[in-house]
Amino acid sequence: VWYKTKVAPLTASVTIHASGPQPYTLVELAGEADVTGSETLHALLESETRKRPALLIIEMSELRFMDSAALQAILRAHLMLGKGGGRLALVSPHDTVARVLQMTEVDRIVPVYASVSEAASR
Amino acid sequence: LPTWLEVTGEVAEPESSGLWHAALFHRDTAEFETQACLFAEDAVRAGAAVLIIGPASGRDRLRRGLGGLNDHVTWADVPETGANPGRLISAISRFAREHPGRATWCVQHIAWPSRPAEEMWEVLRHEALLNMALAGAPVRMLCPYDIHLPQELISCAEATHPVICPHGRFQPSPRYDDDFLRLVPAECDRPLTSPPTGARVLTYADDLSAIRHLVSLQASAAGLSPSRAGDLLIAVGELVANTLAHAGGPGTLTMWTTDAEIICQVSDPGHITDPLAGRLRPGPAADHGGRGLWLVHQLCDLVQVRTSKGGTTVRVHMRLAESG
Repeated sequence: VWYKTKVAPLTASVTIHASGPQPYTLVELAGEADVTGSETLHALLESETRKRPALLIIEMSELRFMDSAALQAILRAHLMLGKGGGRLALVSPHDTVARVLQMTEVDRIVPVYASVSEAASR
Repeated sequence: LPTWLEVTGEVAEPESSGLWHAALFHRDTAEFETQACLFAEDAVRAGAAVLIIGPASGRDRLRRGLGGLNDHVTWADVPETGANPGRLISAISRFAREHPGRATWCVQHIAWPSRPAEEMWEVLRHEALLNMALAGAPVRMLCPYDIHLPQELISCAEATHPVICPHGRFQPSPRYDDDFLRLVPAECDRPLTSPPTGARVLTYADDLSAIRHLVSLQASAAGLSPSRAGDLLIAVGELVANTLAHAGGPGTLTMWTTDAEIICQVSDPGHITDPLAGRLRPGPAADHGGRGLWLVHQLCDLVQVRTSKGGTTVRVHMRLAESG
């Protein structure tokens, strides 16, 4: 783990995988991502995005809730990465998190994978 | 029977490119079906994309009347209960966008006598907002209203449709006022009924996680299915998040259950100044927000908003039985 930051009730862990055929930055979100943590989430994703990773993976299997403010932070990262030629991938959203991605059709513009290894191999 | 092609006057010229929005006052189902079929026929002749929104129960009869026109019609079923009219503007806009270069002609059957009054007033608010949201769009809307509806609803339908068809002839509606500031009739904004005694009342500041947890508990205690409980959780989560983002003060959540519904109401000092808030779908890549209320409308069976400088109350309803 590169570093770990806690914004109650959201926890984000960032790991940079520099070796391997496809280097990537992994952001693991756990808990609940809502408006109270969305600015911190945005700042975290922005600072990782600034490092211009070819691939930024957000792992969501431990994320129990995400509101539209948190989704916004993720979308901004997607747009910023796209401008620099990088890409964003989401992994394992479930229940209400998957529902929000599906309803807003964000899952049509940001690819969603079942596992980190699948996301990293594409 | 006349068709819109025979209509004279600026509101209904076939060449006019903007929104044409008519209330069809019909005495019985047969009259509605006849007019709907003529409308669809004219639509197909004009090369328009045809959308028929209505309860599935009336679909088979209408299908028979349409005959060969069926191939040109897209159907959008609305359940007879729990069909939130707050979703329709984004649904119609989407349909229109999916048919670029063509006009959209839509039969919008969303008013019927057995529909509860609180739903009917939201139907009429939607009709009013549609004039604003789709102004200038190449869209024609035919909205059947049964003349046996209460008079105040009929009057309101006249006030929210630029064109009316009371006796088989389309004509400009004398009651329609195209000033957008007065567009939503005051009757649609009557105060909400008081929550029952025994409703749970909770005040929150920034402890949104705890509030969402309580909504989950109430939803499962009420017997809401897990997926709909999840939808209610998302919706209330957006409403309480709006309090934090926009209201600049604490909010109150009130929850109660009736025989048919679980109801959650969020009140805060905020003021929603855009009457179309939540009615138009933000594109998936839009990074300016505006998704919260839109999601609430998509997920809940009925959404009632009362907002002023003094504060905002949003009441959302989820039917306990799965709706059609």
